[in-house]
Formats: sequence, structure tokens, C-alpha cells
Amino acid sequence: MSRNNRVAFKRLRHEYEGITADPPDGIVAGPADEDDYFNWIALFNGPEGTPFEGGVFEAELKFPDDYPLKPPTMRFVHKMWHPNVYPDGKVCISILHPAGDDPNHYELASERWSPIQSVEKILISVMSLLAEPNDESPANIEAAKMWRDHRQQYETTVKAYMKQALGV
Amino acid sequence: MADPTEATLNIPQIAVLLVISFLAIRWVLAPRAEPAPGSSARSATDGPRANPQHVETISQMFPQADQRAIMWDLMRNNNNPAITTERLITGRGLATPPQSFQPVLLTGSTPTPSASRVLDKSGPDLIQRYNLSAKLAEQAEQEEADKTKPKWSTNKTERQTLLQKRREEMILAARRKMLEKEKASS
Repeated sequence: MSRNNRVAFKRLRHEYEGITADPPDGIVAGPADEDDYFNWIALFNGPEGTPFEGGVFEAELKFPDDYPLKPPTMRFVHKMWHPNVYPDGKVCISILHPAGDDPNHYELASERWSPIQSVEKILISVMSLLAEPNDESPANIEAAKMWRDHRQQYETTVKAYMKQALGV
Repeated sequence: MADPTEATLNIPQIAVLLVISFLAIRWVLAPRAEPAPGSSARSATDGPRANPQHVETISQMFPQADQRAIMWDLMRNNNNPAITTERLITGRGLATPPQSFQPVLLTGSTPTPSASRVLDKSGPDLIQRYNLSAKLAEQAEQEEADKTKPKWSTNKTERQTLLQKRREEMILAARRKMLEKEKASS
């Protein structure tokens, strides 16, 4: 294990312990396998009062060796119909963008990744992203268009996907 | 006054006059006809029609679905795209429209969705991923009572087992609630 790697491991273990002993509402997260702390599985409930209410969503988080200097990547393992989720499941959200200023000046440095963020903060940010898509940088153009112009159809599609994920 | 035919209109002149008056009448009538396309008069003669916007959106989401079948389904469910989408997503498929149903298909304006934009409906659901089919029958009360308390165990194996159990409980609880909601609404 390199020095960085050891730092990352300790930090991830600390976060794992925290999120297990005192889990935030509607979130279950931890390593997919106890022997590899750099790959996590996160399950969370869809936020209430949104089309995602009642659904369970599963995403994998992959941490770099120099975590927490660099952010993890997050990808839904099932298909998601959301303006800020790429068709391959990858989540596009400012908190997962590398620390520092946005070269395109869209995001404030405070919204982007920094070592004081955490897995828990990422998941809470993603839950609020489900509730309020970011119209400025759509990752799924079709979903963004539908969200903007055909809201009812967007909600129906979201619900149908949720039902399918739960085998209903 | 020489030749009497010069004073009256000849056939080409009559034709030109007819064309001009036809265009003039059309021009006068057009602005009034346009603001109400698909008005009651039109739909009364044509019967129910599939809303082209709905057809286009559904075709983009499900490029593999036959456009005629989408239109037929929309016509039969009173232009409710939600019902058609649901049928396609749940894999029930659309009914084959009768031969006599030959609507004007959308072309050109609809860009062909690229492969990356197409959503495949394959892949296991959470029940399959977590091998939960056997646990679906369990009673709700029992699940509530068994709910695993979140706690940190120093034992690696126990920790993994507890985490797995909490994942399963979360999925099963959501599924149960969704089924109850379905039952209540139907």
C-alpha cells in the first residue's frame, strides 16, 4: 500500500463506520466487499414529494487511491431516467467534480469536491438532485427535454422504471 | 366595334380569372381556418387521431416499437402516452393494428435516436440482483419486527452480513409499499 492509499483506506473505513453506526434516513451504504474499501454500493430511497418517491436506487461508488483529495465516481447500476444521469448510469453533479474552480465558470468552488465532503454528503446531494434536476448541464438530453416540456410523461417514465427495478 | 369576340372573354382569360379568384378566396379564408387546426369539424370526420407529439416522444424512447402500433395504441387509449409507455416498459407490448389502419407516419422531422440514447430494458432488477425472490412471500409485520438495528460490528463477516441484510430489508420494504399502493389505486 502506498502512503496515499493508506490515508484513503483509513478515511474510507472511518466513513464506513460512521455511516453504519448512524445511517442517514433512507441510505444504506458500504463497501460491496469487506476486502475492498475502494468500491462501495449505496442504496437509497427516492426523496418524498418527488416522482422518485417510493423507489429504491442503487449506485456504485469507486474511490481513487488518493481519496479524499480526489472525488469518487458514482454510477447507477440500473437504468435511470433523469436529466443529470448519463444513459450509462454515471451521475453528473458538481460535488463529484474535482476540487477548485470550474474552468467553465458554471459552478462555485464551494459546490465542487473538496476533502471536507464525504460519502454521506454526496448521497444527500444526489438525493436532492433527483428532486431538482439541474437544467444547465443535462447528461441525458432526452430526459431533460421531457422534464422541461412534458412533465407528466417524465414522471410516468420515472415511475415505470422504479417499478421495474423493484420487480413490481 | 369591330370583332365581337374581342369584347367578351375568351377561354384562357376565363381560366386565369378562375385561378385568381380561387387564390383570392383561399387567401381570404385561410387566416380564419388556421387558428383552429383539428377543430371539432375535423376530428368529427377523421375520427380520433394519435397526437403526433406523443407519437414522436414515444418513438424516441422506444425506437424498436412500430410507429403504427404506437399510433393505434394511443388512439385506443384516448391519447394517453402514459398508458402506452407503461405497456412498452413492462414488456407487455402493443397490439398489432389492423390492416385497414394506415396513418400518416412521422418521418424526417424525427431524428433517429443514436444507440447511446436508446434505453435498453434488459438487465436484472433489484429483486434478482439480491436474490430476493424467495423472501417476497414473507409477512410485512415480521419484516418490521426483524428490522436490523444499524450498528458497527468489529467482526468483518458479521459486518458484511448485517449490511447485506439492511440492503435486502430496504428493497423488500419499498417493494411491499409499492405493491400496497398499486392495490389501493386499482
